Amino acid sequence: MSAPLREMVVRPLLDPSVAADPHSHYRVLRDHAPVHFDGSVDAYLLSRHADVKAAYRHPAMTTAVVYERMIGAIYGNSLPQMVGAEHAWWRRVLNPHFRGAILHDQWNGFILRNTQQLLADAAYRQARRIAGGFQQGDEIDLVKDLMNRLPMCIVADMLGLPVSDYQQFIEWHQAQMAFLGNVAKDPLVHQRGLDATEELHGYLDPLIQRRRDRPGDDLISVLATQRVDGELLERGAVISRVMEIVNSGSDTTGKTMGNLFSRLLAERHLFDAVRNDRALVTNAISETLRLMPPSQMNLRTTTEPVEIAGGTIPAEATVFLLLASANRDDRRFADPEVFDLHRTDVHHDRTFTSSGDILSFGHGEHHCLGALFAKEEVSIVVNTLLDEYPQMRLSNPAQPPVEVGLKYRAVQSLPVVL
Amino acid sequence: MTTVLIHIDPVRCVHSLNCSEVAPAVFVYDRARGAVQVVEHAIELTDRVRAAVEGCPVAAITLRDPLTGEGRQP
Repeated sequence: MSAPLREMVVRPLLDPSVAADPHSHYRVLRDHAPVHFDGSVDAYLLSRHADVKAAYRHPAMTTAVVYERMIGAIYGNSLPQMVGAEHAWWRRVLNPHFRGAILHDQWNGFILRNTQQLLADAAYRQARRIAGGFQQGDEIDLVKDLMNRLPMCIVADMLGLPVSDYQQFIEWHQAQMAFLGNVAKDPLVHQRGLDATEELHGYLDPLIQRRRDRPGDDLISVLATQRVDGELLERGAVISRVMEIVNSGSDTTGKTMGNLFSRLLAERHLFDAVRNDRALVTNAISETLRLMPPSQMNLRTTTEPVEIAGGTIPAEATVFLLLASANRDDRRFADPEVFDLHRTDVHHDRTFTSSGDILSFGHGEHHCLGALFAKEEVSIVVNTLLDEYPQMRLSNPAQPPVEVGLKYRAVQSLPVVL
Repeated sequence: MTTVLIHIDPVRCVHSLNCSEVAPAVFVYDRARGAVQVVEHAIELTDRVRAAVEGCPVAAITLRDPLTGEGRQP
């Protein structure tokens, strides 16, 4: 592909038209410029499934530099920016608490709502508590009234926070998420994120000390009493992990729930199929994550020149791994634009593992720590809502919900009749 | 049917439990030892085992030919 043609067809990532319809842009990238330097973000873009997957595993593609720059101000020394022995140590500590059957047993000894049943109960109770005031036939905004709050309430509950603090906690978290998604570098969004982080530190620091003095069965107590070579972790490290867990267990989970219901309700036969066959819930979550991943891209920095996608990315370059594009690559998936509950080229049961066919949780060493937790949480909420409101429908089918955002992308509003 | 010998490097393993999620009949997390154990060291190379090996986040699982002892790809 010649350079002039590329310039004609490839828009800057930060062009507003891309955020309005990123998938047409990604299709152009996949077909004409699978490795492409985008001056608007000063980064190389990878868009094909095979290339994105390979980049996640490439030894010269590190998370350290770019995530330290992007999220270090929020999380401190965060898991995404850790590499090597330090990252492996934290993963060994945390992984068992967030994985499969082990998750439940581990939590039984360490944190609130520990066994699988208690975890299910916790999510279920939260879903019912918030939805409990709604009756069949009521009109609500499923995203604003439920999905934006529910996962945060569940996480706050697991952290053992008082209910009276939930709203403030949610506001701090939302400011941080806006900071993390601030691809356009809006200075106000940036400052709000920093301010929220400072306030959150001030809130969590004494709380951690209190949990050390009198540990409970909550997740903060688990982290606050963790020891390395017999020494308690620094409180800053505990705060970092708490904030990361909040992030991984809330915002993207809520976005996934909203995206899922927007698709099921927009294509009513999908809603009916899942409602009538709950074995399809996992498939529905998986297809939602493939077509509408809440986080659309991950970033890396090259430590040396990398040959990939028929081109060369120089050393010390930022690389955007466009997982949302990879998930719709027709080189990998048949009819990739179709939401297919019975798709045979995706092992839906593996979507939440690093062996998955889609890349919505990343891949390889930094595969999302909370993926299996998210699966459980979304499954419980979906089943709960299908049980409680089997006739749910869009308030205005003539105005289908619209996804918004570039780095993080989701429907912002979903008016429904329960 | 292809049979392979399977090995998990305990130093590389970060307890992601990816393998035990994908192929629970073969990989079992041993809480007491804090590590994943292989149920049978010589196993049939099924699609699930392939996926577990290829998907291991830190490439801690390796395969060998049971007759020659040589390493092999999944």
